[in-house]
Amino acid sequence: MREQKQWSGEYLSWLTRYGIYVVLLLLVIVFSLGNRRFFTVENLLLILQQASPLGIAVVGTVFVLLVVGIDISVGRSMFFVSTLAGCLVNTTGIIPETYFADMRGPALVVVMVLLLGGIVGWINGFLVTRFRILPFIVTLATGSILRGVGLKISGSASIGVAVLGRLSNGQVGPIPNVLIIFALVLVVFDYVLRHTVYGRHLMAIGNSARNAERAGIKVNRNTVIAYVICGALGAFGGILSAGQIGSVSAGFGEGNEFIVISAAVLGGTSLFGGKGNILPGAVIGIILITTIMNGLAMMNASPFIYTIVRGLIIFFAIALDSMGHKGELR
Amino acid sequence: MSDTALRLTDVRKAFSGVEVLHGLDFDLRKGEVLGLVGENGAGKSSLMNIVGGVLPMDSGTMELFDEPYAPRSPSYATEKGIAFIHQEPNLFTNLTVAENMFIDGFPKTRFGAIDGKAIGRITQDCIDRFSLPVTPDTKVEFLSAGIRQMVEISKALMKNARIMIFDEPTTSLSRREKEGLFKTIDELKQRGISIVYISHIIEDVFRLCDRITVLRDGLIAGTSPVSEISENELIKRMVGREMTRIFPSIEKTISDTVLLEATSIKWQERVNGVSLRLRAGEIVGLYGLMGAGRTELAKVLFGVEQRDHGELAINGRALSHVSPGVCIGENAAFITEDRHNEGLLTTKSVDDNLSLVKMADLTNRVGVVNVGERARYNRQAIKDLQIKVADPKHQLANSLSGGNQQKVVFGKWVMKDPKVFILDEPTRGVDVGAKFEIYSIIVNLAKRGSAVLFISSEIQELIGTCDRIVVMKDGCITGDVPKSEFDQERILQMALQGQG
Amino acid sequence: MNELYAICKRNVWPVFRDMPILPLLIVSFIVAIVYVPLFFTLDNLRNYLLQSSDLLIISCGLTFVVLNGGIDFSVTSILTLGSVVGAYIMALSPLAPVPACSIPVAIVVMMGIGLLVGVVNGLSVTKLKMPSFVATLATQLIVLGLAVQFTSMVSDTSSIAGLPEAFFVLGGEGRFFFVPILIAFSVWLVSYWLLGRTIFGKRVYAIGVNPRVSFISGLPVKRTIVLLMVISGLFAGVASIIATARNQVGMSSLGDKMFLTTIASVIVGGTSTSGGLGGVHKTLLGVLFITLLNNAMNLLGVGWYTMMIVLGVLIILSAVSSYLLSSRAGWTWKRKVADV
Repeated sequence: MREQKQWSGEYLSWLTRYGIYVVLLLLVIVFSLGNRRFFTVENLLLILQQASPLGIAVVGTVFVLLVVGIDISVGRSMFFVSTLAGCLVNTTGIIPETYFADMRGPALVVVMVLLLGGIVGWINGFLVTRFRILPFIVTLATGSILRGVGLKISGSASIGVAVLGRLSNGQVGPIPNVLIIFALVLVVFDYVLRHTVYGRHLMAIGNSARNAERAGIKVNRNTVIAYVICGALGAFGGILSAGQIGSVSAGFGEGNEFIVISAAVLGGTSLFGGKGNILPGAVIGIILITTIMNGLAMMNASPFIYTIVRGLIIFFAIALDSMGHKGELR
Repeated sequence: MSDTALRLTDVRKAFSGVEVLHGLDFDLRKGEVLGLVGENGAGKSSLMNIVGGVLPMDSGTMELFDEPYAPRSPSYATEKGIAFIHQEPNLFTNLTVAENMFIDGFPKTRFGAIDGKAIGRITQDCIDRFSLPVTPDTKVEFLSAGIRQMVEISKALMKNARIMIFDEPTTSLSRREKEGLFKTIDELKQRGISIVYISHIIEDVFRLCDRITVLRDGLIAGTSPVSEISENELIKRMVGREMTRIFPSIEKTISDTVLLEATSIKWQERVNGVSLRLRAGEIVGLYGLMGAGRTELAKVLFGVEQRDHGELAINGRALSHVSPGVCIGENAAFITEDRHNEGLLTTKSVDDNLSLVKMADLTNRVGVVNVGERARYNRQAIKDLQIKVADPKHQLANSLSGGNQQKVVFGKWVMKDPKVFILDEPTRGVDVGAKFEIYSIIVNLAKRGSAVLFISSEIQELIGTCDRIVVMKDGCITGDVPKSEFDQERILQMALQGQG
Repeated sequence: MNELYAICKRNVWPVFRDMPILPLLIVSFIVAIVYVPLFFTLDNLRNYLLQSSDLLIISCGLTFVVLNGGIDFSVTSILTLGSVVGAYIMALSPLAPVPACSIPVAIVVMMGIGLLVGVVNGLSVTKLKMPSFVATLATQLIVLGLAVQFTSMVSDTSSIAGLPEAFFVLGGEGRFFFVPILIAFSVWLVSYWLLGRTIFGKRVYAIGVNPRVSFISGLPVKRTIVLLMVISGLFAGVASIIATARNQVGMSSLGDKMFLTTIASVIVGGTSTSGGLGGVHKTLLGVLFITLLNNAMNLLGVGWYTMMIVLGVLIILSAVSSYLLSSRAGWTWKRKVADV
């Protein structure tokens, strides 16, 4: 009986490791057949450009998932931070107009956004570690607060952030700016995860917080830092995405956290902690999901299919993750 | 400077009011390998936990290399040069060998990142030293338990430990790995490291150690050089106690009806072909040392784990698929070892806990629980078992003393009037008075015709209450001793050495 | 006089300490009556009770799941899907011209949807071993998508109108205003009975505290979990009946804002998200409190945006105070950074 289990275990692990590439390949084939314009350099670059901002948020999410946490306030944090930044820039002139003629303006906005996102992340981390509240409850609540505050600031009007267009929609040669930024973020944070003390400590915490504590690792502090990273990167991705669209509408960012979490899980990061994959996992995950969305659009799928497809994606991603894990049923 | 590495004087320790160490005097000499032997519950773990800074002692003094030593935490102990190699290695399965070695002190490069080359190099040295079949980049999750232990040992060595305490280190090692470990220990000794070697494998203790200290019932029962004691004398010292404890008188008949019949039960590698028969009115003791597989057997019998192989029949009915629900339906009951995590709903009231199993019987067809009946059964149980609780309806289970908590666990099962009763360490963490009460409960159950499987690490209580004692070692039964032949030494020998 | 004080202290104080929401509710009521204009009118009070009704039903269902240490995000989507499907049956389907037929069918279907989703949720948790918060997150999206898709297929707008008047009775139309209140109260009563008096309820609490102990004690853990997911879904289905009747249209935006108020009602009411503690009596108070807040804020002209902030803050405060209170009571919660 044990041999049989081993066999199916190996099969399952092969599936989870390489299955995603197979699925991506299949999807590309299906979509290409569905619409000839799908498999063009133009469209593929478009996919990458669409994927990059959210991809940055995925990287941040990986850190939180590593320590058995979760952040479902990412989407609303994106909305709040982008709205606030947009308002500050537009109404208060905190950054002089001239700065937007070159990259100084957008750069300062990014700094502002990273700060704001980091603060939000810190609040989440603090509540989770200090008061032992379940992360999804904390982030559900903070998400609502952020959305409420954001809507109050914007008055549900759209905030124009076209000034960021040069950053978000610009290109260096044939390569979109956001793709370059995404690549940089990937490289930096993958390095942090694999080669720094912090990264290894996070992995240890996710594997066994108790053993980590015994080994002298500061569990709470490292966890809070993970939430800060998630908040900052999430906000960063958000502002880039807003810049691409040109404005922050009232519904901006809603539901992004699910895309981001699904991408992370599909890429090999486990909801249950201790297992994380930025390169190539996060990349593949977000490209896969963006491909699906892009392909659906190309095939003129009805807009409501998106929601259903998103739900199905999460379902299957997490089901695969859960089936390989032993734990309590809740 | 004396040649004492570690000295403990008059150390006492109590848990929840029950004293487990009664004023120990213990010393470890520099550069020696000292064997520490004793039955389960003798106090070995508590003693070493105190030395390792995991637990504080209640009174007494410790001296480390002639300096006062009072560790406040495990890391303090580690700093002072005391390394503890546990049975269960504290390794992170999702990290590599090298990362685990350096998890609490990574060497860094100029840029602040981990110096991968350095840790790789040092780890490779350790690997070569022990001829381990791994590379520094192997993830621990792929390593066998034995190799994981070697990694932990390497880690301790790297930290320049001056004293190393090994707690049952060879439990999961293969023969070759064991030889490697012994070679290592010899080397460590050459280097002047003082070693405490805790084990129940007597041959190993004799092979490795210079002196052997026997711990019995929380007291040192003597220390001798290896050359001056034989195995048999050692065993005698481990159990050589007066049978001072009083047990309830047992007058009952054992019928021929077999209530539980297990044949060739196998489970993973912990239970290796166990056959067992329990008859009505019989109290069967199950003795063995740690790792013998007794709790695993119990869990398989009750359906908490699914057996890989073997037959099981309760009340004459063959059961192919067992679950706790099924067993309860066949009037079986199971009191687990770990009452905090598996026995009691600690944050629920005593009443709620008491009626947990009986509930289903007290409901009518619609599903409503008969409150009056429930209260009646609970009162009866509290009275019968003499559970000391002021307000069972509101008092939480974890507000009771250890003994009373255990009685609540008993109460919830006894209410079902089970015919087969599996008890795993039912008197653990219970004071002497409550122990006697529990023995009476057990004996009464048998008097009323139940079959009882009494798993315990205390030979005394098994001798005092059982009709026969079955001994397990390494997942097999190594002996079945009838009452007329009860002998502490013989039973311990069966558990240690496996002679029939 | 002293005697009276002592009696009060002995009997009343433990209740207040166990349910801090109660004094909060009472105080809020008083404040509302005094400071909020138009609050204490017959019209408004009637509205208030009607608003609480569907919230109560759906929150009761959610309470079962939270007591088990889980969560059900899909309840509000069930509300939405039930609403549009039911409206379709009663207004646009071949059965529409015969209200005597279409109404019962719609009711059965709406409850059936809830039941079905509940089963899916339950099986995802027990068979696929998915944590409930993800499984129900996924089903929420799928069901919501289905609802919106369905609406777009049968109607040009995001709502389906033209429901038979007889149906509105269930929504408290005119002199039947007591109907939904009665239904809600009955559902609450049933929940209270289930949790407090039946073996099922006892099992829910036991499993919520420690599934392992429950399993060894012979409780049917998996079956109970599926059942409580089904209850959650079913109650959401019932709530969708009442909400649709009250709004008199089937709306694909029905459940939008509801999830936050629902989970807030349960948490602020006092049921712990770690499982095993709390109950529908607390949820009732939570519902009354949250609806009061909503109602008063509406009257004061405060918008939904502020409400979102307030609810978020309340949830955090409740969770924090529940932690602080439990530490003092000396319980041992051995948890990692997150045990979901």
